[in-house]
Amino acid sequence: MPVEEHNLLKENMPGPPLAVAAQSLFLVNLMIAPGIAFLILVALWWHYRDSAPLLARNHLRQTVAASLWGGGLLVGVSVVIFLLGGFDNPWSWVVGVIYFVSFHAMMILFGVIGLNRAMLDRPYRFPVIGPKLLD
Amino acid sequence: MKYSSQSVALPYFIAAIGLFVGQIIFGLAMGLQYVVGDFLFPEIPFNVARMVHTNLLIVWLLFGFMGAAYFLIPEETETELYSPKLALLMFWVFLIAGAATILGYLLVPYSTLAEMTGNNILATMGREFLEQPLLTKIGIVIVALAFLFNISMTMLKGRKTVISIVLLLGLWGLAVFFLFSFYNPGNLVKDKFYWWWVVHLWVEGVWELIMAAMLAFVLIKVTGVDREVIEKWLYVIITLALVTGLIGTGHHYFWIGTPQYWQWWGSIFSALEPIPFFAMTVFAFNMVNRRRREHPNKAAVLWALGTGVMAFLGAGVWGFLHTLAPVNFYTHGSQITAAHGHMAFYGAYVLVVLTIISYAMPLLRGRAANSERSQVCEMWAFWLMTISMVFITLFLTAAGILQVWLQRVSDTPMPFMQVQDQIALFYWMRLWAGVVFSIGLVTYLVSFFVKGESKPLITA
Repeated sequence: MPVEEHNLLKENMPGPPLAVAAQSLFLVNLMIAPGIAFLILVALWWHYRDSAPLLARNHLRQTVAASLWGGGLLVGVSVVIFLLGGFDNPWSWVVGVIYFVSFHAMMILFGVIGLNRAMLDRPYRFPVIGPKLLD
Repeated sequence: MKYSSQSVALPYFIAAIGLFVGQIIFGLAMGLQYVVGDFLFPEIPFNVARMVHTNLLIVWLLFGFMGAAYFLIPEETETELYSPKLALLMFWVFLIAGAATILGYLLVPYSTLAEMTGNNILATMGREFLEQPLLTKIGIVIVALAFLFNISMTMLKGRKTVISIVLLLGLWGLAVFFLFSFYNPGNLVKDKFYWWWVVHLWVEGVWELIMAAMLAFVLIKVTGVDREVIEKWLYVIITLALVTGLIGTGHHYFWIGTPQYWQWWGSIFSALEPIPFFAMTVFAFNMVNRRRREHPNKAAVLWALGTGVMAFLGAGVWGFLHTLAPVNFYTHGSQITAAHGHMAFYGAYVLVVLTIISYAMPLLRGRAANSERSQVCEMWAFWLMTISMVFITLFLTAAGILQVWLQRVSDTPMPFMQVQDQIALFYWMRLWAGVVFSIGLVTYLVSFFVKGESKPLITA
């Protein structure tokens, strides 16, 4: 749907609800209900992966991919830090906690941008970890 | 500037910036005292420098809030201020009282200051952040009441908007909760319990209302988004702030002698406290992304977006980091708290005051926006201060984690001062980040004097 059709100065949320739901679930997975929100997001993507309008499909793809890559990097690198440094090493905690908090916050901020793009009926590609947008 | 009485905001903003400079000078001095223990001793010992650093922060933010209200309320209510003369009189009263208090801290031993100012009549001094002498506290109440009278009377005769009502609610809350600073029971548990009613219910309660209202006002102005859209967001944000923040006070009640249920209440509600800040981030980005054209004051837009992001990181993420009782059992009062405190205050309150100053100052000086060169300078200041604050926070977090480990987790825990030696490297790094912050602040000051072709004010 072309952006010009909306009056963004007056409409509350012109974007498609499915796209907004996808980005919201991405954020809920990061902040409030990890795992559960991801499962709902995957179920949504599975159900609508072919039938949803292009914009919503893009948001679903982006959020599923970003959840997988983001989650993998968040947990994976943290585990590597502790395995290499050892749980009894204070420096593992210094590096591990700072990495986890910073990366987690960065993912949330990307999610905020994605949610805003969805709410305003615009596509969004997560930097580095997001797949190419469908045309 | 639409109403001539808005000009009373100007001295408030200038005083706020001046006191901000003072706060940073004392911050740098303390940063050095962390690693060179006898720096400025005995002239300005650490405890005095810290008191001046934190008190100046509170006072300059209050100047900023009052200036913001004097600028914002006439425009929102579409009427002149009830009494500009009263506003100017209170400015001088507050400035002189504030300066006298700081000089008192610096020139007289604290106990002597207490004797001189009637602390034996009603003991209110000696508590963190509420160190002000009784006379100063009474002065603050008088200034606050006169200010609220002025603002409330203006509102009563003019248009009532959601922004002005939320702002007024926040400001009244600020004044009401300050009254608990006069309650100083002998029972230490009770003392701490109500002490947080000032400290916590300010920064994680009513100040959030003031912040949200100020941010909403600037966002309406710089984006042109319909008031109705912005007001809906504002309702959601302040509801979230109050629902989470009020009972979230419980995260201060874990270890002060209150019943154990506070560990549950405090953990659950304060774990939700990042949500209003998260909503503010979404709000700021959402409104800015909606605008159809660039506002000439790009710097104000940058400060507004920065407020959303940094408040969420500092107050939200770094607050959550140590807010659950089982975690706080180890991290309580460590450098992790200092990391959170620095970024939260900067992100939420310093930036929102600088946002409204950035928006209002050009208007108060008779132009729509400053020159490109001046704005570029201001935006450099934003990035220098913000990035250095991120590093200050990261270095303090690293220091805090190491401190917690060495002092509290390890099988062979070390004494406090030995641990301080172990984490000195991070204090040095924090100090250098602080130096960059102060360069950013100087750049900010310079931006007010950079010449160039400014955007003219279009009047109807």
